[in-house]
Amino acid sequence: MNIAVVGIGSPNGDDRVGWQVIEMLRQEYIGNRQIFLHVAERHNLEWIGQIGRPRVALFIDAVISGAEPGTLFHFRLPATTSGGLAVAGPWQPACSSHAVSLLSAIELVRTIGELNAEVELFGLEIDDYRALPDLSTAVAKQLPQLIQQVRRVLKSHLRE
Amino acid sequence: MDTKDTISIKVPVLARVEGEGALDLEIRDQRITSLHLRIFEPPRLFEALLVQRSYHELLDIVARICGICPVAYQMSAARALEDLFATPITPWVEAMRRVYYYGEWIESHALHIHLLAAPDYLGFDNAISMAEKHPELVRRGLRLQALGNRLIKLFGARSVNPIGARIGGFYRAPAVAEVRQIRLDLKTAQEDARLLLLWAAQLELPVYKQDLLFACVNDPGRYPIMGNAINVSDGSRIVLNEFAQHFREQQVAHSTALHCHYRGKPYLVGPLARINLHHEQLHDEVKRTLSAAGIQFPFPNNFYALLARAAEIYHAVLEADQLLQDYQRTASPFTQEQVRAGEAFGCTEAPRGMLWHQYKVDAAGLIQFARIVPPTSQNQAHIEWDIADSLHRHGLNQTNAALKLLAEKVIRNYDPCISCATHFLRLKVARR
Repeated sequence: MNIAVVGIGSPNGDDRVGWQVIEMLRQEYIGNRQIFLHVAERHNLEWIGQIGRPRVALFIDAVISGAEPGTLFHFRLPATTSGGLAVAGPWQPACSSHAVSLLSAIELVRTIGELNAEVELFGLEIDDYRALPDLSTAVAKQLPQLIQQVRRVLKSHLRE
Repeated sequence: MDTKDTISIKVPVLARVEGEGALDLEIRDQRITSLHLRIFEPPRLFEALLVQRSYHELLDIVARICGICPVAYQMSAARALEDLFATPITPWVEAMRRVYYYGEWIESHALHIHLLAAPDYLGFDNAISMAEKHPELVRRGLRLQALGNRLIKLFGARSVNPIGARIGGFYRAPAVAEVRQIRLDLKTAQEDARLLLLWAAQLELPVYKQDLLFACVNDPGRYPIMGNAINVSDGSRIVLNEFAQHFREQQVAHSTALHCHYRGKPYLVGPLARINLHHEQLHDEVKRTLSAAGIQFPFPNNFYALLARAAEIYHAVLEADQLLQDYQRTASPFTQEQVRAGEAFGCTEAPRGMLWHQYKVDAAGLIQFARIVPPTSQNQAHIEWDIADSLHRHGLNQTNAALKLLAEKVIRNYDPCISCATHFLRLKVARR
């Protein structure tokens, strides 16, 4: 397996965008042994130990940054961060069993040598994280763009 | 500003996670004159939110109170209503609930030991910096944590806010193939759990004995998880419907969270309480490992809670495997309940200690009243007492940084839900 794609979220409202991307990709890549698709619960340690040792890891998650709902984000993490990733910016180091950030979790797993992969993060600014049955209008409108973006990056990695 | 005789330590923010907290400490003439663990926890609206909801929604709602110990909330609630409804619990459900519950103990304890507590004992600020020097320790912790999550998922359908439990049992019985796979994982994990216990046993822990009062549920003949009474270290046994007569919650000016006292005294709940009262019910292999390492329980010092957690992980891994040994998929994973009006009480052992529930239900099955006393609330008064006791024992004539670190370690020994903050105490010292 070369590439792991992890959708993080929950069944609640806009928080499920990561899961929905994975569901769409499953339809396209069913049976593709190069790609491992994983739906992760929002507890950011859940995916650890579940995705093997990929050469590329893509993470998709809902974002609350204050940007306009529907705003897309895409980051490539530096190959080596030497502990600086999780403590930079607004993120805190892994500190609590209740609230480990995704970046802290990635940093932790990289530090113990379990994720020697190129890592890219995809996010979609959400509007409503309450336990609602549907996506908000802004997020539903942008979801196809997010999927398209992930698909494009995935295909480029598959060609490598 | 402090003088040499007066030290005022203010920790303005302990952190988030089920509320915010802070620590205020004042020392005059080598005596602690004021010590307040201030919790800004918002009101637990879950209790009011449950009123007028149907009983069958209860387990899915209370599972959302805590992201780390949803199983405990579900089981305390389920047992309360099953007792009221006189719902018979089959041996299959009884056994599988223990496995489900052990999953929660394993994941919660593994996270606490490796991400929160271990950096204290190995001299690091956080788990990431510790992982650079001790990668295998962290790998082992994450493997155990993942195993705990898989056990929860086996019965709960998902590890966060699980939805598989119901009154009378589970909605679905796992397939034999699923259980076969998890047993392979449990077998593999036994060595991890044994090595973890040996690692914990060689840590340098304070050896003084404290005058501790502690309590946990009475689970006859077994290591305590679910029971119908509470055992207290003074020899008392309290039936669940008399909890409120002996354990009193009260408001204090410096905290929005209630403090709970047993007959007017702070008391301890959690792994050390369980192992001190019921170490004889640990799995034989755990007892042998502890004995070979020269560890004896009971030991009245809450620094030994870390060791108790490691012992409970090993016990949980071993007993979960035994409980699944002759697993057969049942066609009846639950017993259908018959609703009755009345008052219900339930208490089980969350990873952090006993979790007591009380409900009043009408004839239509609507909840009319709910009261939940979580372990962190029960431990709060004891944490304050323990900080003061430990600081006195270690000596107050230390730097503020040393006092702060010791206070943080004491707090973390309880694994409170405010524990993330305790790694990041921002210390403000004014010397007069």
